[in-house]
Amino acid sequence: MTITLTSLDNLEFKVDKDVAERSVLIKNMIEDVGESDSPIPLPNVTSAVLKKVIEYCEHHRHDPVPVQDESDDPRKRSNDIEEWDMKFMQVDQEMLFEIILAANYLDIKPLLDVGCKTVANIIKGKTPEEIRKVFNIVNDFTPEEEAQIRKENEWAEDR
Amino acid sequence: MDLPEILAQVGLFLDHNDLVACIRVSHGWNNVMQPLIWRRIVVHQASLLNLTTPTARDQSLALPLSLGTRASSPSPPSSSPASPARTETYPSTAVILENARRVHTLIFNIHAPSLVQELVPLLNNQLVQLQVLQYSDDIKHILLANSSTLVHFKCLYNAPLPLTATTPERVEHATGFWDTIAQLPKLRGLELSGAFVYEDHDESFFSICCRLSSLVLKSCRIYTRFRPGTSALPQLRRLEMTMNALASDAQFAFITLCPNLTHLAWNTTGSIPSHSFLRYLSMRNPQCPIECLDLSGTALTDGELANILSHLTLLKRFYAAQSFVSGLCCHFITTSKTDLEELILRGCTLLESSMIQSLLMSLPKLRRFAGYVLKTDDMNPPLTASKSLPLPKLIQNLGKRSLVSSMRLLVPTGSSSVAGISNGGPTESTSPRVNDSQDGEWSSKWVCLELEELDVTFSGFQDPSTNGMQIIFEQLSALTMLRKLVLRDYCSYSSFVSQKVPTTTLGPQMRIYKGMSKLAPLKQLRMLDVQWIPLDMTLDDVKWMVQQWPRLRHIRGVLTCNPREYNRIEQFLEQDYPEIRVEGVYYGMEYINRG
Repeated sequence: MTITLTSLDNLEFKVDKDVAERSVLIKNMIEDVGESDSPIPLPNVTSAVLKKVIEYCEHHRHDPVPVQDESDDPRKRSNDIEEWDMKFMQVDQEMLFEIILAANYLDIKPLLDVGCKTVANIIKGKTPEEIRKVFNIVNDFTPEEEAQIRKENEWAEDR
Repeated sequence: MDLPEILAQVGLFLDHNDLVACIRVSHGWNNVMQPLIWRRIVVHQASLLNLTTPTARDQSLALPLSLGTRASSPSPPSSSPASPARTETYPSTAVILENARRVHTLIFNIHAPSLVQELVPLLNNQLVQLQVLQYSDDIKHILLANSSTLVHFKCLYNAPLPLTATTPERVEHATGFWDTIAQLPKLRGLELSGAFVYEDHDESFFSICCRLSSLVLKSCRIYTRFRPGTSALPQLRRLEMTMNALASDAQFAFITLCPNLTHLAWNTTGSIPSHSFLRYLSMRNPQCPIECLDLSGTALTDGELANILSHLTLLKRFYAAQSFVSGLCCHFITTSKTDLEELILRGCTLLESSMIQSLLMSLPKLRRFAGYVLKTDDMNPPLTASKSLPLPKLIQNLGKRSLVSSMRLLVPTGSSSVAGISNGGPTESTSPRVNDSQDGEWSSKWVCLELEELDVTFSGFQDPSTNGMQIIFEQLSALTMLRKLVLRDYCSYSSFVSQKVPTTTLGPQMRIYKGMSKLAPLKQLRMLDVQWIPLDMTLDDVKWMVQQWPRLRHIRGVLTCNPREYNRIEQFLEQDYPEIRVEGVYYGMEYINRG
């Protein structure tokens, strides 16, 4: 069965039901509305981003539904992104954040995790100045404030 | 990039060092990331110094140093040599208690019973991981108050009973302990040292194990009997058994109950039934799921270990410290297991220097490595090899073709004039070296450029003409991801072990003029352990170090034996780099401790 999804800019995307249901939000909508041909509107997602999200869901359509693996170290790791996902995430920063936002809105946890891990990997090992440069963030701390924060939190660093 | 919801999610994937960097980026980032730092609290020796508790009980355990809080008036002058600046960087008890509601992971590396007592009413339905030194009633309360969330529990010394306790008392205490653990429905990881499992606890112990995905038992006394028909433990993925008082075959029986292990550590000095063990490994279908194997300290032979390795197609991490790993294992690893990520072979006396060199030249994904003695000659062999490389007898007895192919592994790929073994030649010290070529082509390079931790004992400095330190610096300079570096010098280390003063001062020298400046690219270095190297660094050398390595936080070693220079260095570090912890450790006859 095919589902029609409509993006913010009114473009229609036809996808198979099992692909669409990788999004828990869409899955619940389908269950509520019942079998119907009417398109599902996604006013928070532009067509460019929706296209990428659908690409992800299609590639992962046969993945088992993710189970919360409680035995994992509560400190989540980010070094286990599979190769296809890594290539998929090689987009410009703006698209990367749009994908994360969309995954959050559509409730696609694996895609959200991959997106966040990708950003985490960008941050890893960088100094605050390097982080600001990469993400174009303005430093609104005075040097004294920043030194104070640093001093107050040094205890938290892993030795 | 300033949406708080996304940042909060991303923050969950960052370790503390990155979080500490993030909170300095901007106010927005600070607001989101600061609470995340409190998710994980480690209470260790240094932090105890800054705790003020209403009761004085913990203070009796602390050293006589100032116990200032950040908010209070200046603390009384300390009588110890420790720098007062450092005590202020740790949060006080009040701050810890204030943030207790945010804590998901609580780790105690020290005994702090009064802090524990104060935390009891504050920790409810939040803890996911708890680690303590000793089980007590307060700990029991915390466990039960967080039973709906607790997933991991680690306890280092289990039974705080007096030595005069009778067996019935011990059994009763253990019963209480296991009953409490049984009431933690979400518990998936359990790590115990010094626990007791009596026959009375068979049932509860096994029913707990049935739920676990990770079980670590160290130095425990296990009196249970494995009745036939004991159900298997298919959930268990990680099992570590170290030095437990339980017969080897009973330990093996327990292992065979676990068909799905991905991580197995079996550190026993008892004999390991290698045939049955191999059968257990090869029965897993379609391939053995073990990714991490630790057989440190076992008496398995090189051949048996190599055989075991050959059954583990998914293996990524192999630890075999103080074992008989030698040529056969190295041959196997360098030919068929080149995707290894961690290899720990500390203290393996049968591991030859050429084998270590060949390992470092064959494993591109290596992130952690510890080996034994590596001679600089093997890192930079002469153009005409003047002696045959040492080969274990078994390889020598192989057919000629396999002999040649295994030779290729042990000979670093050098210039074309290295044809293999040559028949005698000029003495090593005068012959040209593979890496002396004019164009700077470094042909016996290590491929493990993603290495994060390295622990190697170097040897072969006595000959000044080979300039051993240059070779080492040159090779180390390529390891830009290195976070932890442990350097040992064979002469000093072996003299220490044999309790003699080292006969030569010609050891590795961490000096700029000796080429240490080549190590500038090691920007990720956090820990440098040079306690086993005789050093005579100057203030300039130290200044260079701390400026080039901005992440350096921990140095182990006596940087110089010259008292005046030592004082200058100490003053400089205390004033300008108080966050760097310097530990002088036992070296020779002097014991200098700082910080």
